[in-house]
Formats: sequence, C-alpha cells, structure tokens
Amino acid sequence: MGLEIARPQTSRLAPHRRYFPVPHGETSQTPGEERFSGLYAGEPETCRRSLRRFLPIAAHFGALVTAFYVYNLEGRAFQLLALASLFALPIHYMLPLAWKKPFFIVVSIAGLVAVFDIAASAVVVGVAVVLIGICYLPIRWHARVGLITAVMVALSFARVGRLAPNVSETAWAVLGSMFMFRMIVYLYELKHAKQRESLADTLSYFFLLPNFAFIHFPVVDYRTLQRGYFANDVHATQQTGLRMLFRGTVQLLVYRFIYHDVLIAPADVTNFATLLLFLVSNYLLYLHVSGQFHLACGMLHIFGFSLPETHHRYLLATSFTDYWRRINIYWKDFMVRVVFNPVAFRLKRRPQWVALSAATCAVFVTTWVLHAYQSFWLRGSWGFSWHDTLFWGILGVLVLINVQRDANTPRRRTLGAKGDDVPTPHALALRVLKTTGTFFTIALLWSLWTSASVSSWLAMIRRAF
Amino acid sequence: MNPNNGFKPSPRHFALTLSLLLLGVLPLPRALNAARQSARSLELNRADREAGAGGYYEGLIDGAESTKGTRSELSLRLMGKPVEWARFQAANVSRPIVHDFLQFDLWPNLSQELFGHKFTTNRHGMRDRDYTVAKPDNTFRIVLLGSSIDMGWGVADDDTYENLLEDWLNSHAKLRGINRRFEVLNFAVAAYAPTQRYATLSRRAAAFSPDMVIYSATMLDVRLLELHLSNLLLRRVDLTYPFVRQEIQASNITEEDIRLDKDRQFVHRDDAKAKIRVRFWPIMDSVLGALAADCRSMDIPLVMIAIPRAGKADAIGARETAMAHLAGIAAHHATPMFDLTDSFDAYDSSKVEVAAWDDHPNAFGHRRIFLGLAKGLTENSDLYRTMFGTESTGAVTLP
Repeated sequence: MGLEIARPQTSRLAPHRRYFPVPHGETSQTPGEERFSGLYAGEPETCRRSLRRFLPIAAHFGALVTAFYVYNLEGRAFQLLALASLFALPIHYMLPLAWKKPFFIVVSIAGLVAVFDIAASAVVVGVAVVLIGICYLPIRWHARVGLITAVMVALSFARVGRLAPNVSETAWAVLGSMFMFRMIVYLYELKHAKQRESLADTLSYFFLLPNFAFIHFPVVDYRTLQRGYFANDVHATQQTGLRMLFRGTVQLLVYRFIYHDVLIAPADVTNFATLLLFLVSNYLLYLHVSGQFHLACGMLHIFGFSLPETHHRYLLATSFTDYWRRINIYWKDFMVRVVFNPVAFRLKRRPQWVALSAATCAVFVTTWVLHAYQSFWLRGSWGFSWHDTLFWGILGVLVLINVQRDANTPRRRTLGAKGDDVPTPHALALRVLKTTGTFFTIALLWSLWTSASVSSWLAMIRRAF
Repeated sequence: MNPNNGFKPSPRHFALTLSLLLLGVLPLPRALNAARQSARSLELNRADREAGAGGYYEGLIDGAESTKGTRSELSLRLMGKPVEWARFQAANVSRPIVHDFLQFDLWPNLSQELFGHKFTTNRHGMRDRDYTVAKPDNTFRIVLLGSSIDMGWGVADDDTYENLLEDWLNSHAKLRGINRRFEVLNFAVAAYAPTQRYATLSRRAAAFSPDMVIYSATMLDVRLLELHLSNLLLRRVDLTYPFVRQEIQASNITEEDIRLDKDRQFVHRDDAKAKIRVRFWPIMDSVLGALAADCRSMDIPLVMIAIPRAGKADAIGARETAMAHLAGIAAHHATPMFDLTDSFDAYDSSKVEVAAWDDHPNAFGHRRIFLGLAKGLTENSDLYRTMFGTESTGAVTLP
C-alpha cells in the first residue's frame, strides 16, 4: 500500500521476507565419510565448497582489489579493508559455517583498529559492548529502549565535546554510523522476535566490515541480513557481490570525473545552458553515495551475506514514487517498515486516501528529521535549514500526489501492448518524457537542497533566465 | 537443494574488470590521462576548496577542524591520514606573536621528527642549516622568502629544494673552479602570506647581508593574504607599512565589517575577507613593488618564482589566470620570473605529493622544483654572472 502501490522495480516481498532461513541439516555429507566433499557435517548445500568455482571468484576479487589501488578508490581505509577481505576470503570460505560469522566479526574489529587507532577503536568497542549488552538484559523491552536512549543522549553530549572531550571525534562518528539507525531496526526486531537473537548474529549486524570505510552506510535490515546469510549458493552470492563491487567502482570513478572536470560552481551559472550543466552534474554527484553503497553491499556478499541491491537505476525513474522506490531502497524499506506501515495500520479504518496521506507525510517528516539526526552523528551539526526543509517538503508533496494518483489508477503495463514485451513507440515516447521530467525535477530540487541558502539558489535561477 | 542453484560463472564481468584495470595502468593520450587522474583524485574540487575562503589555512593556523572548504578529521582518517599527522599549528614548530605584523614564526633550535622526517630549525628560526649573521668571505648569499612548500613541509631537512639548490650551486662553482661559496638562507614559514614574506626581508633577512632575494609565489597566496590581513584587523595589529594601509583603505572595509563580538571574533566573519579577496592582485602588485624597491635600495637582484602544489589544484587549466597575473606583476616591476608551475605536469599527483590528504610536494617534488629553478638561474645570463662572477659556459650539468 501507499508507497508500495505502483508496479515495483524490485521484488515485491518485504526485505525481511525475501530470503529463507538457512536450512540446517541439509547435507549430503555423512559423518565419517573419508573424502571431504565440500561440506562439514550439518552444513547446508549453499555452503558447499568447490575450488573450481571459488578460484575464479577469488581471482576476480583480486583483480577488483588491484583496481581499487590503481584508481586510489575511496582512500586508504576502503583499500585496506578490501585487501583484508581478499586475505580473509579463503579462510572464511574454508571455515565451517558455525565459525564463519565469528571470523567475520573478528575481521571487522581488526578492520576497525586498522582504519582508526587503538584508542578510538577501544572507545567504539567499549560503547558497543554497553549498548549491545543492554539489548540482552533480562528486563522489559521498554526498559531496554529507555536505557539505550539514555546512553545515546549521553553519547550525543560526547559527540559535541561536552562529555569525554579527550576522546577523538572520529570515535563518536563511527559509533553513530554503527548504531544511529541499525539500533532502531534491531530494537524493532527485538520487540517482535519470538526468540533471543544469537550474539554472533547481533555482533555481525553492528560490526559490518565495510562500515569502517563508509561512515555513511546503508540502513541494512537486521532480518534481511540474517536470512540472507548463506541463503543462496555461496558462489552465486559472491558472484553477485563482485558485480556490485564492479558497478560501485565504475560509479565512483564517474563521480570523481564529474566532481573534478564537469561540475561547475553555482556562482558560475550565468545562462540556461550553464544552469542545465550545473543541475545535471550536481545531481550526478549522488553517484558517490550509490557507488559507496554498492561497494559496501558487494563486500558483504563476499562473506556470504545475500542482500538486495541498494539502488536500482534511479536516474531512470518515471515518477516521484518510482524515484522514491529506486533511490536508496534500504532507506525506503526502513521508512515503510518503521513509519509508513505502523501509521497506515493505525488509520486502517479511515478512508484510504487519509491513511495514505498521513503515512506518506509521516515518512517525509521522519526522513527530514532523521537526515538531520544523521548529520549530527556523522558531522557533529544538525544542519536544519530552510532549503533543506523545502527540499523534503516539496519532494514529500510530489510523492504524496503520485501515491494518491497511483492508488486511484488501475494497475496496467506501461510498456508495450497486452502480453507484448516490445514497447510501442507511443509508450516508449511517454516513458522517455516521464523519465526526463522526473530527472530534471529531481535535479532542480537537488540543487535547492545542496545550495548555500534559498536566496542564493533563487539568485542562481534568476541568473539563468 | 541444488548446489549450482543461482550460480553462473561470469567471464564477461571478469573481462570487464580486467579491462578497467588495464585502463588504469596503460599509457593514455593526454586528455584521457587527465580524465583518469580526475577519476583517481581524492582532492576537493575548486568550488569546494574556495567555499571555505581560506578555511584550510584557518585550520592550518588556528588548529580548527572541519571548517568549511576543508576535510574533516574523520574524512582525512578515512583517506588514510595517520593520527600523528598534525596541522601546522598543532605540530608545535611555530610560536605565536599575535600583536606583531608577522603573527607567528618558527621556534629556533628545533630538532624533531615530523611525519617520519627530521624537522630542524637553526638558532635564527630558519628551517635550514646553521649560518652566521655575518657573511663569510667569498660567500654569495641568497635569501628565500616563501611559505609552506618552500619551508619544506612534509620532507626531510636535506630534501628541500632550497638545500638542493645550495648544494648544487657549490658543486657547480667547484666544478668551474670558481672560488665562491653559496649559502641559500631559507626564511620561508608555512602559511606566510605575501605581506609576511615582504616583512621578513627587512625584519629578519636583511641583517644577513643577502646578495640576491628569491620571492616564491603560489596559487594559494590569495587565501593566505586574506587570512593574514583579516587576522591583523581582528587583532587590531598595526598595519605597519604604508602600502598595506593604503590597500586596506582601498578595500572599503568599514568599521562594521570588522566589528567584534564578545568573544573577540568578527560579527560578520567573511565580509572583510571578501573585500580583501577582490583586491588581491592590486595588493600583490604593491607587495612586489615594495619588495623590488627594497632590493633596489640594497642593490641586489630580486627573482620571483611561481611554484605549484602537487595535485589538481595547480594543474594545467587551473593555473593560467593566476600565472598571467603574476607574470604581469613581475613585468611591471622589471623582476625576472621563473614559472615552475609545470614541474609536476608529467606526473601523477600520487608520485609528487606528500600524501593523499596533503598536496605539498614530497622529496621527488622538491627535486623537480629544484631542477626547474636551477635551470632558470643558469639560463638567465645576468643572474648567472651575478652569482658566479663569470659568464655561463652554456652547458650546465644538472644532477
């Protein structure tokens, strides 16, 4: 419903339902069998080791890691973690399934220490132990939430230097990156969980190796991460990861080129042509985010975590709801799960349009506030501003209109005639028109969001006409 | 479950990855190579650098972090900056003299490790070898006025282009049988603006009886100048020199622009800087004019050099306007100028920069600057005659 109404661009299943639990005990290996068949006792078939399949994957990953160094991709932290992953990969591959996750956690913590210093890492691990420990306390869920909130408030004072001023600010930013959203998702899971989460699952959720290179990290869903773990054949998962890593690499290289050689400053906009150049190149800077997210997810795939893609051809969105579904899919899923569905469910007895409107508004207000909250943890300042408010407000209204329109329009194929996959010229032209319109509207909004102020943005627009 | 479920070998993707890798290492035509360098560069672009209007150097001098136009500490750490890599102020090699026109200078008699290299200052507070104030007989003294690159930020004592020049001048004189020693005195201090470099000559260097002055200019001077002059205004320091007073007056800086709040900071932080910024080239012209006049009164030649940072900021296409201005100013004051800004053009920035997060040239970069400078000095027959007291043989061997 709501944001999910139109034909989805990705699987319609909720993220936590896209994968099935690891089927324990499905093995062809019998105890005492002499020749190692690629599986230890009790392991699922998805875990079966095969050097014939693994070696090309390791070689491919090695080529990608070399490319990261050749292109100086995303700095030393990422390169170091990619290299660590390359060395850890064969060990992880050969370890029994039960040891894989603890090994991943150890590699992640080693990565944390390698990227940051021992002192900052000790603070991160220490506070993480406290936060995760609270989640395991044998007290009511609400009490655990209260305690965690209290700790987070104390940490927020530390973030702005009012507590523990001697601790490096990087420690607080890393902690924020690990816990600011994932703790919300985790607590949500704890509320609905039927059984206690294993410590390895919990630690592997918070200590995600690529997070220590990409502080701005996708909001990975806890259940999706756990259910995707060795849910598919490990080689298929790793292969998907390699594709994600390649796509992320290309996007980041394109981003760097645009950033240095194409992008012009707002002050350089003097006519309509330069405005167009600025709008397009400024919007394409988002490739930095999508590229990093692809790399992060790709690295997790290498360790057997099968996850959905984080972005899906968002530059080709045909409407604002379509855009919302394609760009930062994890954020959309997070909002749908934590905000949209609860609000829509509470209003289920009201007319549909009321429920949809309220839920959509709640999503955009929450998104606006949480972006400032994210800015606080990662940059140390909230960053509320008029142009930021306008951006989320206008985008929210556009999506709201689209949602209502989609809700009242019967679902139909947009490309091609009935049962025919080849689009008609008319349908194709319409799609191109919609895509172009959506692209430029978003690019215009994006320029507002990234401007220094509303007045400077208006001045830039005036100079163009 | 079928173990092959979902797995398909992907030779196409492997081939694409190898192609991307090859594209990263193969020699490419100049335009494509420039695009590849852009794709590799982790530097801030021009717009982001300028957004801070001196922000980087505010960080450099005041030790502030995460200022606009600079990278935050976290960002630098992710790029690979080690914890011990300090900013200039935090490196504890300079001392503040806030009520003085110079604002700060280097501590004398320092000997410490900085970024894995020896950082030494002599008893006179120069990042250099030891020299007596009185000039020894048969000695030709060159004074270098500059900022961080000239001071040798990020390189060892003997790797600065200034020391390489001194060594080469002495070996060249010996090779030609000329009974003359050369001393190149390094008065450069990191973050010194053109105005501070000018003041250094009369305040400190003149006492060492120089025979030649080398004034080093960089593309960052505009930022350094607005920072120096706005700090003088902020701290209500005497502007000292008539031409500085005149230029501040010509900038139309009002009392309101420099009004201070209760924390003794500007109420309108960027207004004075913005007014100074637009007057940069006239001020530069005045600085060089004053410097040239001082050198004429001392009857010594003045040489201007323009040196680059290692990175895209001073690459081809980014420096032409500034270089045209500098060339015009040098010509206006009849000062020979050596444009060394092409010293790094043939190299990837990773080959010449101190680190990915610091675009000062490394030892190789300093060597490139030295080679360019030595070539310029030897090819200029007037300067060669002044330095060596004889004509150039035409063929000069550079190491």
